[in-house]
Amino acid sequence: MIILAIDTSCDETSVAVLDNRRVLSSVVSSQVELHKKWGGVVPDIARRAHKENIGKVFKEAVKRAKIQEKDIDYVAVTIGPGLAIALEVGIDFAKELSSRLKKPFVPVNHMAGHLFASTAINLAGKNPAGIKEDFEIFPLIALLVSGNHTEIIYSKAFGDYEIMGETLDDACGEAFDKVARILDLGYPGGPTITFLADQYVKDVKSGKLNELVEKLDMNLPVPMEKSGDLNFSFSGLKTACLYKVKNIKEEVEKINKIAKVKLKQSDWVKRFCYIFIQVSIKALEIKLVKAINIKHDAHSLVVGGGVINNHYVVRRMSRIAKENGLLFLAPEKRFRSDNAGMIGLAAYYQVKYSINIVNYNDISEMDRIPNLRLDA
Amino acid sequence: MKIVTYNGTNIDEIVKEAVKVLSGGGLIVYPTETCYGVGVDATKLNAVEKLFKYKARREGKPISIAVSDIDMANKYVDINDIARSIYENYLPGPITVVSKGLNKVANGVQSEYGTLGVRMPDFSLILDLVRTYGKPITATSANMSYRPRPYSIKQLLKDLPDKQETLIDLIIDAGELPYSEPSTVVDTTMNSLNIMREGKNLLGQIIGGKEPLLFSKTTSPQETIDFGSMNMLRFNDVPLERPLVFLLSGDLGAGKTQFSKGIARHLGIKDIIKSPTYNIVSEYKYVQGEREGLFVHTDTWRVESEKDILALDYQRYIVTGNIIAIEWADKYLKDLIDMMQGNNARIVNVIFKYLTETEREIATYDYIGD
Repeated sequence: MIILAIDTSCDETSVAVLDNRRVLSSVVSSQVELHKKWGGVVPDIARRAHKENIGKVFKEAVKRAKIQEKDIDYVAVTIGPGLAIALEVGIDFAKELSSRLKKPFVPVNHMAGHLFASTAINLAGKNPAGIKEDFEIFPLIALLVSGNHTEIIYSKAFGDYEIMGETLDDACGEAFDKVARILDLGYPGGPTITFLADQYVKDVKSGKLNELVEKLDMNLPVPMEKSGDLNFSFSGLKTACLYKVKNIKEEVEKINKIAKVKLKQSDWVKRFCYIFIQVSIKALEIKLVKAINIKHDAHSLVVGGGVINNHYVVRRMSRIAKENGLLFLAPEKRFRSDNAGMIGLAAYYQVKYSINIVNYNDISEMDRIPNLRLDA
Repeated sequence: MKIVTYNGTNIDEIVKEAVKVLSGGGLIVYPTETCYGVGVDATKLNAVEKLFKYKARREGKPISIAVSDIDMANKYVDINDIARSIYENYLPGPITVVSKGLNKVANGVQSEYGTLGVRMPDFSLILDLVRTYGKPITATSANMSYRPRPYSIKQLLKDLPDKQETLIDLIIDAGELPYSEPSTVVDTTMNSLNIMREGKNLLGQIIGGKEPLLFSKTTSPQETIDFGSMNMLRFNDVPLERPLVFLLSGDLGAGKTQFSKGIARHLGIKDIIKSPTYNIVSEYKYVQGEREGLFVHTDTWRVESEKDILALDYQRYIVTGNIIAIEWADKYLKDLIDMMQGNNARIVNVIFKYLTETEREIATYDYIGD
């Protein structure tokens, strides 16, 4: 069964081809040079960019998968959550393809994509966690963390989801970007903050710590630590960082007045990045462990989303799974940030369980749902 | 010390005289549209040290520079989109634009974080002087640190200790200057407007601010939510006749999302209102009795250009019945206002300011227009 999957939920235009759970190709616009004009670091969020991209990304995905258009059995597309004008581009493209090929249309929830991204089979026919059948992983608890989402999900079966906790304001990945801005580290912030934290860890290991930096007060509050529920809030952590950085700068100024060797921002910022990551992880961990303790029957812990690219996060989550006797599933690198491969996986399960498959004659009504929820 | 009197016509003579002093590392007192300033060649270390001696200023406080045009500014600072738009739209004028410095000025002129404030005084004599000199001069008020700003040479010399007076090489006397607030200092290094010192409230004029319609000092996120609700209540009937737009401007973490939660609460929306930073636009349906429409919550933080703001297709949302809240509106104020006015929207400006870690000052202004 060949599934063609499309995701245009936000910044990336992505198209993938799957043969059941095996991802034959998954092309993401920012990772291929489509058009010099749209190149560069900053993704273009406008509809125009997706329109420019989608035809080329589609062709590239089909080419890399070594299939023909006529081989496609299902056309899957993200209908939400996401940016309305971006979602529309993918949906329109999918509708056109579905009616031209006379093949069923599969509307997919982007978050279901993140949730099942770790069940993909690679070209060698293997799943990294050794999953042979999807039902092996249920009941599951999932932590989905990205620039846009921070959610804890409980699921007993495909299509049946309970959102146990979610962010009330900023997502975890957004906090990374904003704190990077506070520290003048540029956008996007995740990779830079992680890189600097790694430098700090190296210093710790080699015993090259700066005593003055170690004395600086960098205590940050763990957001929502005592809220009682399973929700998150990263907005407060962002504000706390803003003030902490201000205080540190003042403190450094004082120290520099008397110190022989002046402290530079680059001296202390790596420790701050390390601490910020640890506090963010703590915030995730506290709620996740609570969720695990509530759902005794959980068999596995699934993680997904762009923040999982942070090796500190994924390692801690893996340890939590181990400590609680849960099977741990994390997506391969290429299925962490937004991509159409994961949309194809969710579509595969929809086909398998006959959930929400739309005949190509009935697609005119299909519309984007920008704030679609997994528990809708 | 020499004093030359500017009579409105003897520009060439004064410029010649001043250029001579500046090239020799000398210090001049000169008129601007705000008050008398003191200038030395901003690229000469000994001249700048002389200026510091004159100002008797505390360590680490950076000094702005005066340039003749954007091309000169370009050689000393990195001008991003926001800065460029201020240069093009509001300079010369009483605004100091802070950008990332290119380390082309003498030590101590840039801030310790590498930023540099640039002025383009709205005073043609000075623009001519700097243009002729070919290099920026320092732009700081002629008083010593912590003393009143001078509006006449008489007042300046009266307040000035003898030691300072001996450091002046040339005074350009343009008589008594009209009293004016110091320049507004705008930090553009984050590619968004960050008003560090409000002078003549020029940005207030730009956004049409007068007396606030609503004002609150909030001490917790919950109070900011409550104030957002109160704002929606105040404009409750507007969406019956035309689109209602809240332009929210203020620093990172100042409460823009919390305020938006309040708007949604008043509209009876049950969904969790999250930060729209990443998704850019979030839409929520509301129903109030027989009324219904969309609450559109959007954020320009990740939007990189005017082009993209237009391409985001806000137009579709600016219809009667809808309420639109735009975070980081100050980044694209003019484009947004043009767009909203073109669609007959009622525009409300909400300005958020930090007081302390927990306290915010939030003021709501009616946008009246030019």
